Amino acid sequence: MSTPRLDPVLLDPTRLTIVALLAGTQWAEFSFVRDAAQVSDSVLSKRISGLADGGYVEVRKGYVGKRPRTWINLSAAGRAALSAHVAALQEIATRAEQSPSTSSDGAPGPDPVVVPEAMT
Amino acid sequence: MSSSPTPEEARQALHDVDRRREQSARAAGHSRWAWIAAGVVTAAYGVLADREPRFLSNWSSIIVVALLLIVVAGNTRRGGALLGRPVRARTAADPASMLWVALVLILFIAAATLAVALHTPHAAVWIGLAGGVLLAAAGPWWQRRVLSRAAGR
Repeated sequence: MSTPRLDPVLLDPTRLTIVALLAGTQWAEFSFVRDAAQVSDSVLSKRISGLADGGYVEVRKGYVGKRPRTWINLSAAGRAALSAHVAALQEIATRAEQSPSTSSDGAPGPDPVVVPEAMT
Repeated sequence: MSSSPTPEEARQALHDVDRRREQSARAAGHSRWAWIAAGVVTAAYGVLADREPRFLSNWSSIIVVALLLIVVAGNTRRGGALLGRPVRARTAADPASMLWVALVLILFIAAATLAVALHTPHAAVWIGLAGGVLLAAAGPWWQRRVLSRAAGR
């Protein structure tokens, strides 16, 4: 059985929220993500920059009339990372339901879920 | 969340992911009123075709092009922003839903063609009304289904 891999970048709840919000959409407006995630402009900017640097999201800036707008889109890599991360979370939740982490007779618990070192 | 989330934290994170996906799916959709308006326009087009064929022969191309432009513009970043849609659904995510739409369209066109071929009185009115009711009633349901499935991928 392959070991599920948690994505260290998505362990941050705000980043996970942003990526989950973008999962079923294309080119969401910055203001929508900010309001939906209930974070400030600066917090969202910082998180989006980090995600863009890691290749998780794409960012486009432009104008509608005279008003500047920013649009964000989940990249293919970001989508794959979210899928893998969700699978790993499901694995953790399922394993816990199937077998307790430490049995009364001292038998070893389930294999731990791998968290890669990079990008923490 | 820690680097090794507990089962409870994992469940909480999964719940949050589902909630956020549903949240964006809801925001990406057109409102029920938009579907009802589309249904009314379709029904009105059918009534116009029956009552004012002359008017429609002059204006039908312009009306259809204008409606198509609105639809296409609504699916671009800037057009969506202008029309007050901050987020657009990820399309091409659900081929099964597209197949269903194609099937319904084919059946609808076949029924319309049959009605015209049989010289049904006021066929354009009935076709317009049927199309309008289909859009207004089934549109929001279909949209919810497509968006939920797209968000889950």
